[in-house]
Amino acid sequence: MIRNAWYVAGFSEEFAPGTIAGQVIAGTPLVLWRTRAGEAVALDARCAHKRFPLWKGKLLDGDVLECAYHGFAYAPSGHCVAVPALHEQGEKIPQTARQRRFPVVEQDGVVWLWPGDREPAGSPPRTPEIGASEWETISTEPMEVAANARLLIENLFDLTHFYPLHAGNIGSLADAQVPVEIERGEREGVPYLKTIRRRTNFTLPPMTRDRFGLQVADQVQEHTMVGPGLFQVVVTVAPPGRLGRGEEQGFVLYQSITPQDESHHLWRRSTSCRAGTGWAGSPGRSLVEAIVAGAPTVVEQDRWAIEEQQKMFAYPDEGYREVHIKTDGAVMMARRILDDMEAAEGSAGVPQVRSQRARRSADVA
Amino acid sequence: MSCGGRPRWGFCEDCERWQFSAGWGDPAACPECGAPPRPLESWSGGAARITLVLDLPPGGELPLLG
Repeated sequence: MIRNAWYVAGFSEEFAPGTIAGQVIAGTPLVLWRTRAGEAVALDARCAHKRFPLWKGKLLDGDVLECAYHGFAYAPSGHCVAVPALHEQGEKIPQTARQRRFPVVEQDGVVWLWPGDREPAGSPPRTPEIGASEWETISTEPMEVAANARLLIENLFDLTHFYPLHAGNIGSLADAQVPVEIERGEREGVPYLKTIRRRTNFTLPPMTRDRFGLQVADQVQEHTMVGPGLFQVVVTVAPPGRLGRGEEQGFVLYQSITPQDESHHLWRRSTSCRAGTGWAGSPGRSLVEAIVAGAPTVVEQDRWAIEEQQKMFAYPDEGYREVHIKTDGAVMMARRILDDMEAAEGSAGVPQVRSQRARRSADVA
Repeated sequence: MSCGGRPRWGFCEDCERWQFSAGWGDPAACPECGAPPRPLESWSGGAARITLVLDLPPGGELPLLG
């Protein structure tokens, strides 16, 4: 599990003033809240006194968090500012009574957190469409997935599963066999991997046809992994021969993948369309509504698939060898990028993941 | 195209696997079996790129209804 990376802790609206949020990111229990000044803060959720979860506590004045067990109270800095038992005896608060504070950055309507033990490498990725007035955005509730976060990343890069997993909605055999351009490199020191699929005179699948009001179209679909925590999908559609002529429709979909542990992660989705773009299949409603309305079926199919995959990792690898076909190129590259990031921080990982890595290393010269 | 000694991804159809290697040589050959890779990454503008082209069978563009 990669810990030295920016991960999405939530969309800004998930952190209302006066409320406490508890979550686990990359194996670390965290308590998050927003101060009276509006700053989102995150501390280790295990009270320094007796490990009691601070997300069970309460905010005393909007800024100070009191543990529900013995009343140790912590400022946003993580320093303990009150211990009821010591106050009564007139004793000093121990200097060691403080919580680790984690770097948090809130930008573009997203709260990012760095759970690692190193200094953050640069700033989190930008998501400019979220919250911008020229875009209409719908963000979903976080979804818990009982699978290693890597399985979702691989799923998102692997359009060959559109058939048969998504057959009947976004799936067709064409999705599995369209040429794909793969690009990899670094942006501000963070590795990225991108796939681009271009189609002309493409017969749209049923769900897409309804969204855009087109039977046949030219389409460009880009999938980009920006570090281990964010995946961007950009789909642009236009009547045949009309791409780049101001007749495009489409959407930008940000998918955040926040690992909780080696077999669970949170999946968030935020979809944006140009404001004022209508839903061809339902006059009076917006395109972004159409796309989000169609998503639950596809999302559940993906969740089902990767959770079923995860279950099979419970069995030893003896006698099993994974086969890779040519269309697995982006998946293999994503694995390598993530393996390198994990190796760079020297994390041993759990046996299950070590097992996966050992098998994969045998596949790479 | 020069890759400056950087490792590249290539698919060897004989070995039936993707390989990540700086040892493809010129002309490119699989470091394991010597077969030509199809395809092999190239570097340009600070990024590595590769294109996978697969033939679409007749009727393959039609949506499949489940």
